[in-house]
Amino acid sequence: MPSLVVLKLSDSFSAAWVELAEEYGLTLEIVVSPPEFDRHADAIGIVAAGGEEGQLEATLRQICPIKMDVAAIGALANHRLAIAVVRAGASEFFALTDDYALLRSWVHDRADRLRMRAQREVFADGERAKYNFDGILGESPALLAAVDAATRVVPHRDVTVLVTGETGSGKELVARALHYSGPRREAPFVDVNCAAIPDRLLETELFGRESGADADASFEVGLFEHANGGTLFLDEVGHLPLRLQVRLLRALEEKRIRRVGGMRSIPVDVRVVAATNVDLLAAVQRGEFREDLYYRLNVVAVDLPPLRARRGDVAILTRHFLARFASDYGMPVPALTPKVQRQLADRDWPGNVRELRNTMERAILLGPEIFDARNVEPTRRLTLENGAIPFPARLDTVVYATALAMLALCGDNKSHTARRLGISRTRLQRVLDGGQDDEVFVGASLHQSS
Amino acid sequence: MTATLGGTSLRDSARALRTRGAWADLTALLDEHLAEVMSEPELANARGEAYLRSGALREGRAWFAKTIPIAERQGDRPALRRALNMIGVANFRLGELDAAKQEFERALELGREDDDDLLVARATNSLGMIANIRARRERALGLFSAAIAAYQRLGDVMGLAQCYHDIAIAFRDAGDLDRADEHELRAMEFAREADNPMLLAQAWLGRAEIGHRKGDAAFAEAAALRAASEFATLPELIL
Repeated sequence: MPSLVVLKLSDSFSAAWVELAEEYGLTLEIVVSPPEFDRHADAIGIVAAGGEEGQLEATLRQICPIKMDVAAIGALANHRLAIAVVRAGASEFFALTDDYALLRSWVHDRADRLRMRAQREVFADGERAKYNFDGILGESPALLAAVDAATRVVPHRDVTVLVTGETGSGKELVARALHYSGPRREAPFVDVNCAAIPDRLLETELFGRESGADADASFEVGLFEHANGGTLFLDEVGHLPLRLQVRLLRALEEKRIRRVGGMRSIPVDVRVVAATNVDLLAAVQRGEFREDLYYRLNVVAVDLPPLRARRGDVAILTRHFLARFASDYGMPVPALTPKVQRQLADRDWPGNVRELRNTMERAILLGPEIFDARNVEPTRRLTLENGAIPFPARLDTVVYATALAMLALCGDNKSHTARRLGISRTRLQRVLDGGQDDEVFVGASLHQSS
Repeated sequence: MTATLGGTSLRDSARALRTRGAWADLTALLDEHLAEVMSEPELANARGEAYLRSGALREGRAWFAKTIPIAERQGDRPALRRALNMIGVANFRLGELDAAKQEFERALELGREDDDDLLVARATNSLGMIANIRARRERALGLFSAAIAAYQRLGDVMGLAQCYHDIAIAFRDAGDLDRADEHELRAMEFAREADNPMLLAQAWLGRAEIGHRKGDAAFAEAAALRAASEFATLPELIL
């Protein structure tokens, strides 16, 4: 339980300390000499000098700097004294009894913060239990090698890591395990999908902004700063435009960032974990990705194999997901027939572990008690025959096939696909979902009538 | 010299009623002591919150418009920050997005100045919701990411459940249904940790909508039934 530590320079206001401690659930500790005042950060400090204000400044100079927030208390509202004690290290000066409501509010605020700190520690422990390397299931040598490489980086808090692998292969899981197993676990894990945010906005989101017409506030803290002390996970880093690649490289090398439109350089203490499902080295050779940034990110490489390359792990993962979802949703764990197990192991799982997980969840939610092979069938399989776009064919078929072909070309990255097709991501999704693509048909009819 | 400490019993009673969510009783108690309530920002905030929790949004907004200047005059910044956030919520729910945005921005600035991480998280999340309603999806995604970081810093699982649900809505509205579903799953995870059936129900409902948009009617139905069974466990509340 957090404490209220009161250094009494006089006997005034004794009842107030008892009342404040009770009111905010704090343990009250009364001390009478400055050396006794030195407490850990899990406390709120008060130096009380009703009638002995002359001692306040010297006492504060003796005890500050100190980890906890300290309020100085006097009996008279004296602005010179207030300035002097704040300069000596107090957070605030309150003149009782006039300022009692303000003091109470201040203690309330500080008590809340101490509780939040304790809550953060509990949260980090919980996340650590969820995201650790033991939770990355499988026995295939390729997976074990990847996990081994990642595990070695954990204690090295500043080393950047590049995680590669197909969509759904568990890149984010590895990044979270790195974060929550390591020394940065009590600070935030901030994930950014570089393909989901347009270039213009991505710069502001990452680095913040000082001012501008598009402002929501007078300044804006970027995700680098939000991740301070923790991990910044840059997913689909291959989509970072060249201009931002330069800024990212500088941030990694200097450990400082500059907000957009800002002059000040701000220190940031962040481990960067980048991930990609495209061949970044090939992007370097095409001139689309900076070579120096590639090597700066790729200090440690973790390459996750696709699920089809570790078919032996399908059974382990299947059992795990069935048990987890059955427990979460209060359902019995269904039995797997040998036929279903064979079917599962034989599938290619283009969406990798995520697809397997979704399939198992669906089976738990929709399936009968006895697991049925029908439930493991994908709801839709996206394939092109011989990779060719059909022609002659209905316009909607051609549009759908074109979207699929581009999606395959872009490594299943929908944002990139939409950009290359010159349409919005929403429209691409509509096409892929098989919905009527009104824009195409409206456009076609206008053309015919003109 | 001993401090003269008045008003504690009223404050204690008000706090107890607020913790229990007994908004009608809290209203009755505070209305009996209006003069004291108006002069004590904590009590004034409790009265305003009771309006909002009871669905009296316009009355709540009018109340805060009256009491915020008092908190400003008294220099009670923690109470002022909370009041600004609550008037923002009132305006947001009344559809007054411009006013809500201004209030959340002001609350955010004060929260940053005073290192009030919880307020920073809440105000950022609210600004993300406004950006998403205004179809500024990418802006909304950035704000939600920032709010998630702030909630992580606090270890606030309830805030995370709400925020992951909100970011899922932004992804859903942007047509990225797979990512939307991933985020609803995270929202469910945190809602369970927070033991909050309302947030769990919201996330299931979000997944039902995603399933529907994907054309997966069977999944949508199953998720909607889950949402309904969670909603059925809730008392009749106006939130």
